[in-house]
Amino acid sequence: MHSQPLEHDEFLRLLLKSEREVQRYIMALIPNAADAQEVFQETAVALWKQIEKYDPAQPFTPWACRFAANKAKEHLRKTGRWTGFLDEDVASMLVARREHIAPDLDRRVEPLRACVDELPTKTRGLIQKYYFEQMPIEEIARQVGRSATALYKSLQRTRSALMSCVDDKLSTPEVAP
Amino acid sequence: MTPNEKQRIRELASTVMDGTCGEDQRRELNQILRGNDAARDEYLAALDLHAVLMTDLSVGSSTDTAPVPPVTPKSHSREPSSHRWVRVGAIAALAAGLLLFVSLIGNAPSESPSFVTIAQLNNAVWQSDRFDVGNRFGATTMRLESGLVRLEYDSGVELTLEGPAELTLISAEQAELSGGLLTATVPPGAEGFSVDTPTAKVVDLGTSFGIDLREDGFSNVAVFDGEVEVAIPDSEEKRLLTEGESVRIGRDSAIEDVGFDPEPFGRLWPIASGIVASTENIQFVPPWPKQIRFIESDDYIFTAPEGHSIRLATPLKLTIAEPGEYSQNDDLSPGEVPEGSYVRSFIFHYSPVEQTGPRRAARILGSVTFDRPVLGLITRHEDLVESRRFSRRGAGEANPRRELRFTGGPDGDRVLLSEDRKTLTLDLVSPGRSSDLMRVIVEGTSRRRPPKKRRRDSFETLNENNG
Repeated sequence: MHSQPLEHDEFLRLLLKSEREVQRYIMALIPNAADAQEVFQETAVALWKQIEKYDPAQPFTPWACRFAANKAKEHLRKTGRWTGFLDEDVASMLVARREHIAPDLDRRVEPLRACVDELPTKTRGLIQKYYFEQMPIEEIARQVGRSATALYKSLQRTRSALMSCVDDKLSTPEVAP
Repeated sequence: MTPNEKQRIRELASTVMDGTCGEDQRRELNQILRGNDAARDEYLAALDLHAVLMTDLSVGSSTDTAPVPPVTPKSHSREPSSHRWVRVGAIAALAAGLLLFVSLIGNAPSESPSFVTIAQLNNAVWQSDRFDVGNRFGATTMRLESGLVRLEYDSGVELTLEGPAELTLISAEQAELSGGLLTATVPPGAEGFSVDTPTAKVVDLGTSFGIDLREDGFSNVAVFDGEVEVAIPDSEEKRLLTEGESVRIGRDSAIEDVGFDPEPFGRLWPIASGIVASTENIQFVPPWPKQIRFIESDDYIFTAPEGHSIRLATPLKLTIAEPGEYSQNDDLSPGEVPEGSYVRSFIFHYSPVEQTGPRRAARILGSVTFDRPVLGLITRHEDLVESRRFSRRGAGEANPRRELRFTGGPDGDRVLLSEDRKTLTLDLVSPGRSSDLMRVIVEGTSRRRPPKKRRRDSFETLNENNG
């Protein structure tokens, strides 16, 4: 029985604390933000149903990520405009690999912040609108007077530039001031 | 990976992120990702960049020269922006709604394969991967070089293993013993639990039993309590065994009756009962058929568990409910365990050898430590009679001369329950023809209790908090 309000509050607290990390994890398989949000919600339901199996002495996020991996794979199996783009074996390989390289991915976050700051003004504006304001691409296109196709192309180049920028920063360690 | 291949992965990843991925691109992407780790790593790094930008607003710091108004603070702190609060609120509402939702649909089948916890170890030396107390796991093989280990299933089944032994846990209902000594106790509700040996299948029908595989080519099965079915694989042959029966099954598949000999399992019993330590003068009478009340000895206190952990249907009266030292009747701390609690009872019995004619009072001092808290002691005659619900064979409660006497004098009994409630020290005196009997009530195991500890797993390489 899950009727104690304390248990519920505690779950909520843990869920809120790990929300960002779990969403980030889901997006390794489901990059569409809206779909990832849906998978996150399904994950939250699954977590709550199994909360009695959770050991508070252990970190919550890795536990939640295990549920998220299942929910994400389930989501990929469903047919739809967007889903099903990864074959099941590939999805499994990616989950296994994601786990393995998690520390490497974490090391990329800090340099990424610097790289975003270093972007040319115009490009940074696009990243700002697309990612931070989560504006639909059509809306950005209308605002800046460019076609959606051109903006997709631009986004693709910017992401690649950010990848290279992070790679560079990691291969040339910063000299202490 | 060539720069071109890298570039291609980034392009394809981008089409996936933007939802512009066509069928040809989809096939190409899957093909590449099947290729090697380097390709998968590049793809995952690209997707993670996208994910971090999408979810981690602190990356989106903006400078003074930014042409668009900043929506996030300049600092890299994890403070949520006002923008985030909208979503946080949505999740709070979602989580609040879950409460009702879940209480309506009940529990879904487990997504986690873990069903067993290591409850206790005693000088355990592992041949396989080592396991520690609190580890949680599912299907696995454990090879124990020496020592004792106690496993607790979520279903309430408890297994105790003495090394050298090899045990494979197949599921929550099935295990396979390839060698060694094992005892199992299966509480009501978990009947059907089975242990396969090289020559037999032992199906528990709500009971406790032991399997001894130390004799090469033979499975010895002894039933301590309740009923067990022994079946021969690939044959119709079966036998129903009840408590006090023992059989031996050889490679010729014949089920042969042998004399009931619980002796080999004696060493497993204290750990099987959750007893951590005790002085040597406390003797364990395993839960197999033996009339504890008839055992007499000047030098030993005998103790036996009274069945499984049970849920109290009515409150249980205790003579002593609080930690402390007790030697005077006026100091006792009577109390009650409320109904609905899960408890387990142990009977303690001190009965010096009866002699004719006058004799000196026999006296014994011993102590025992449990792995869980003692809720209280039942030592008064009326309380003992009332708590008969634990006893299946009768522990001799009817005899009023068996209660403990706290007179404060040299002939009086004395007990001490430690502050942590786990260690009980007994200083018992039996003058004349009296003997001492008490029940020790310890916290029981509720069947669906959340596991105490979870096995650490490889996901811990993920950052818990990242900041």
